[in-house]
Order: sequence, then C-alpha cells, then structure tokens
Amino acid sequence: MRISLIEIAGPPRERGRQYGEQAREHIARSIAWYSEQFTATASLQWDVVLENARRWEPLVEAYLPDALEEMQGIAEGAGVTYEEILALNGRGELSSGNPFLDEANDECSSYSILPEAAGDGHAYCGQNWDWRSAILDTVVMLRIEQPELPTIVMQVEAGQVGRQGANSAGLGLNANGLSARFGARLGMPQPYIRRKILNSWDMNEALEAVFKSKQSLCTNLLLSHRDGFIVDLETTPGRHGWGYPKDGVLVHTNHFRYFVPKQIEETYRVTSPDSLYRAERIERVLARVGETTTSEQMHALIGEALSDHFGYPNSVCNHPDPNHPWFDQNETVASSIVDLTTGEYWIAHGNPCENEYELLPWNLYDSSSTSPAARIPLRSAPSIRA
Amino acid sequence: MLPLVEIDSPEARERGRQYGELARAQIAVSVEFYKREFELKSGLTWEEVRRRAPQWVPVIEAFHPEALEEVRGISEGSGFAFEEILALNGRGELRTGDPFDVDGCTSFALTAEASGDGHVYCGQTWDWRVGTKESIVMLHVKQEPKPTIVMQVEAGQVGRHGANSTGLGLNANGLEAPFGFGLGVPAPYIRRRILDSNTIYDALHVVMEAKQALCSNLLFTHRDGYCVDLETTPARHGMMEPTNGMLVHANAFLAHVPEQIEQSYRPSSFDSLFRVPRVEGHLRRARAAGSTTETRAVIASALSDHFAYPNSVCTHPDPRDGGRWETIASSIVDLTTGEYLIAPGNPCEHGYEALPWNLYS
Repeated sequence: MRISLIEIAGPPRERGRQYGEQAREHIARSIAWYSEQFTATASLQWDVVLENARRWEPLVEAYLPDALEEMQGIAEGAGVTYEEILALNGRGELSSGNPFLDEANDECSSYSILPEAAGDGHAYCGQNWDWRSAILDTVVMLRIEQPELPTIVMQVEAGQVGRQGANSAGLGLNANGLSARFGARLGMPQPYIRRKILNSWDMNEALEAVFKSKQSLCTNLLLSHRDGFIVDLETTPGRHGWGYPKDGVLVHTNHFRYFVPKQIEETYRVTSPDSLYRAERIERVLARVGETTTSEQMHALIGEALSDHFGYPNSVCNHPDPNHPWFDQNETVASSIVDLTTGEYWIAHGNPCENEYELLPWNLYDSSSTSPAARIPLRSAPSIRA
Repeated sequence: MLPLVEIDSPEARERGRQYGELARAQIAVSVEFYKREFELKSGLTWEEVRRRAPQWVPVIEAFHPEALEEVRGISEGSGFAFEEILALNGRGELRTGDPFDVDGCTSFALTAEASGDGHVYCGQTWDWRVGTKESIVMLHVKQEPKPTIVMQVEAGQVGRHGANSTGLGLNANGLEAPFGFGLGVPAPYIRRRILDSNTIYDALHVVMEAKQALCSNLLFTHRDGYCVDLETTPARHGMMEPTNGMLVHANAFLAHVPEQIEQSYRPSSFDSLFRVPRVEGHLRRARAAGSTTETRAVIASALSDHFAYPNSVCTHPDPRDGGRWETIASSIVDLTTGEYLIAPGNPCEHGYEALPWNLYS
C-alpha cells in the first residue's frame, strides 16, 4: 500500500502510545508544517498556540474525555509534547484568521449512495479530501479497536483522533469545510466531534454527538448507514441544517445548500467558487449508478466521478493552483470509496487521476465488539387483526 | 386492548362524570406519575401545582367553556380534585422546565393516491415516558349535536389525538422551542376543540385563533382526501402540504424555523431526522399494495420500524439513558371506512386491533 497503515488497540492511553510510536515521523512532519502555516494563515506563532492549547482541555473533558488520555499517549509515543498534539487536533480552528487571505478550507467533495440506487445493491460513501499539498505525507490510515466501542477505520492527519471514515456498526462519516465564521471563538474542535460520531453504535448516537456539540467552525457532516439511510448535516455554532438523498444519491461540497445561517444571511458568498460546480459534476456521474450491474462497475463509476477535471486545477480531483501562495497550495490528498455493505474500504493516496484505489487489508466488520442495543431482545413482527 | 371508555350525554358535566367514574383507576395512575414528574422537571410540588392550576380557568373558560365543565365532571366522577384534573390537562405546559424532553411521536397521513386500496389513512406512534402506559384509555365521546369523537388520551385529559364522525383525523407531535408567552391555552383543549369541529374550516380556524404557550405539530387529515400539517407555535404557524399524497412528521421543525429561534435551533429530538424518512420510505410502498389488508400491513411495518433501535420509530426503552421512553400506543385510522386500529404499546409486540367502535356509526 502507498498509504501508511496504523493499527492500534486497547485502553485510551495504551492505544494512544501505539499510535504515537507508529506515526512518529508523520507527526513530526505535521508539526513542522503547521508550526509555519499557522503563522502565515492566522498570524499565530507556534509558541502562542502551545501556550493556549490547554484551553481546549475542559471542553474535551466534558465531551469526549477518553480523547485526552489518548492524546497523552500519542504525545508519549511520538516523543512530542501533549500541547503539540492538542494543536494538531485543533488545526481547522487554528487555520483561519488572517484578514488578507481566503479562509482556509478543507475543500472536499463527499458522496453517499443508497443500496436501492446502486447497481450492485450496496451502500457506498466516501469523498475526495482536498487539503494542503504539504500534508500529503502526514496522512495515515488508522484502525482503532477500543473496548466497548465500535472498531473504526479512518483517514487522518497523523496525531489527530478523528476525521473521516467508517465503523464496525455500519456507520460512515464524511466531512467538508463550510467556510463561514460566526459565534463561538473557543469551541469543540472538529476531530473530537468526528471521533464521537465514529464511536457511535447507531444513527441516534451519531446525531446526538452532532447536536450536542458546541463547536466554533461550520462543517458539513455526511452520515451514512449500511441499512440504507443517509442524512447530511450542515453544522454551525448555532443552528444545523440537514438534507436527504435525491434518487438515492447525496453529494455535498463546501457551500450551504439547505439553509443559510441567519448570522450570515445578509452577506453570505461561497468562498470556494469551485464548490458550486464540483457538486454538480459528481451528481451528474453518480446519476448513472443504477446502470451498473457489478461492484467493479460501481467502483469504476465512483472513481470516474472523483477524478473529474472540469475547472482544472480547481476541480473535483483537485490539483495545486500555481496562482495561489505557497501556504495555500491544495490538492486531493486522499480519495475514498467505502462499501458499507461488504465492509471494504478503498483508498487512493493522492489524486485519484494518478493513483489507484487500493483495498485496505482491514474489513470494517472484522470486529469483536457488539452493540449494547444488540443485547436488548427484539420481538416479533406486527400483526393486524381487524 | 386498551381500556375502552364510552361517555354519552349532551351535557358536558354529565359526560365528565361518566368519564371520571369509568377511568378512575387510570386517572390515579396518571396523578401518581405526574406528581413525581412535575417536581422533577419544573421543580413544582403537587401542592404548588394544585394551588396555581386555577389560573388556567379564565383562559379555558374563554376558549372552550364546555371542556372546562367536562373537567369539573371528571373531578366529581373520579373523586380527584378539580385542580388535579386541570393539571393533567396541562401536563405538557407543566413539564417545560426540561426543553430536552418533548413528546416523541411519528405521525402520518396517506390520501387515496398514495394508498393501494384508495382509502384515506392517518395515525401515529405515541412515544412517551415509561410509566404512562397504564394511564391511557380509548375514549368514545358522544356529545350531540357535536361530532362523535374517538381518541387516545391519558385518562383525565379532554383531548389528545384521534378522529371524529365528520371524517376528520388529528395527530399530534411535540415540538420543543423555548419561546412564547406565559399562560396560554393548554394543548388538550385546543385538540378537543379541533375534534369537536363539524368542518375542516372550523378545525383549522381553532388553530389560527388559539393563544398557546407551547409549540406543537398538528396533522389534519380528512376522509375526502385532504391533509395538511401545521407546525404551531405561540406566534407564527408553519405549514406543510403532502408530497405524492403523503405527509409524515415527527418532532423537529420541517416546514419552517420560527424566527425567535432561527439563530440557534437544533432539535433535541434529533432522532426525528431519521424517523421521518424511515416512515416515508415504508409508506411509499403503500401505493403498490393490492388490498386493504396489504395497505395496512405496509403502514404497520412503517410504524414498527427498528432502524437505530431502540431509539427507533417503534421506540423501546434504552438502558443507556435509564430506559425512560417507549411507544405507549400506536394508531392506524381508516378514515374511509371509519375503522380505528390500535396497538396498545409497541406495534412490533402487540400488533393492531380494530376498536369495537366505527367512527361513522
């Protein structure tokens, strides 16, 4: 595999250490990059970031306490400071603030497909993850086996405790930046919210993680379930909007589609104009999912959608734009196809136009943990006497 | 089957007395439950509730004086104080100390174009607190010259959800939203006046006129093939029309978000986000059903859906949060034939049985 695979298991501190040890070099690269990048994009010196990083602690303690233990472990394993790991997990929140720049934005394109729409009858989800070219070599695939919780497979920047992926309960999560800023300054950083979603046994728990978080950024979260359910959430520090698939397919990029938050209603403009056509381009290809008959054809069709070059280099398959400054060079750093029905997770490390999708050696459903709900007995089917 | 309570008199006071006598045991269960509940949710002791409840009298007197007479009769017939019956009819309003705890229900309407047998259907799951199931009764109200009503209520309440002999069905779902003005007309009186209506015009008029304190979703279905959903609030009401002959609603604002909460609205009942599309997904199959039996089986499967079990459409107690919620009853009303089918608890366990009352007889 081109992408680094990291497998961790056990209680939080212990699995954190395993993570830190295995991803030591990636984490060092990530710290080297962000310590310069925050200065450029947010006028934040690295030492100021580290001085302030612990201000997130009480928030995370109340929301996802195990993550703090896990990050202590990551720091120990990687030989860096705990504050540095806190900072890597707050990189989205730290990446904006320079008035002379466009807002830094995870410019991603996400999709989800219902089994009744797919030619092979499977549930799919995935995305192109577009971010700084420089972080390409900090991206790792992480498999987390954790007591009492679902097993997770996800793509992260090394050191982060959550980003995009899927779990052994059949839940998929994809995410896209929404470049609006309003409301809370210090809020829950995204990695914790996303990890809590992927720690969920069912859609209800996942939604609870989204609706009970106090965040500072706007983010689109696409939740998919193997039983054939998709909901997309435009989350903000205030109200959340939501939407559902049309004809079995849902695509989302980086602009509000279901509502415009009241707080920015008078002035809202899409900061990444490519977001407008990226969604449409993918929808156009995925409208053909019903014409496929095999999983191979489904993969090929999704791959075609995610490799689209309309509007190149600011296309679905995103390439660096030479007109942008050094710290704002983006490209597709990973592209995923997750088959929630079979548990197969395919990943292209880098642009999918140049890099093949490779099957991870981990099946989502190869997990020993079972849901507490599975231990509640289910009764018989309904009858009607009339 | 749920306990069946039949009351019949042109005199409201007398109807109330009959109700109180017949449902005394269930009213006792309800009083015991809410004594603890109000104190827990809004910090009000039962004595305090009884002391303050009469403040509602002028509000109800102006809105639905007959229902107030019925409340007096229920008190006489059951031996519980007038103030206690008032409190049972204001239980939603008395629990609002906890905005994260509204009635979770999933309601639906199907008109002829969406149902395989060409009938008009409405109904819902009624999801409420564990401990209230033993307090619910099916009430048959004959009240000439007003329409005859069949409805499911917590004993002692004068209105909740049901249907009447003019072919009007009413289903209801809690909508939490912390805004409004103090003392309003409690939901049971509004719903009773709707079901007392002879025409759909009168029924809708009730909603437009009522000064309420809580937000509540009301789904109107008429046997002539009309349905509309109203998200009612103390101020503006939102409105939603059917899509392809079908309407489904749960506990989150879908038609509009009130301006008062527009900046911050997040439904605490986030399970509504999957309950609505899950039920819609099942009900879309009703069109292809070949018979009445098949159509009803499709509806039953929708209301018994277990996606995200146990916090599913068919709700079961979840040990992870102390097991506080369950579907306490579920209804399928055939407004075309007048049959009223009820599952006395989770539909997956109980199945649906027709009441011995036809709406139109």
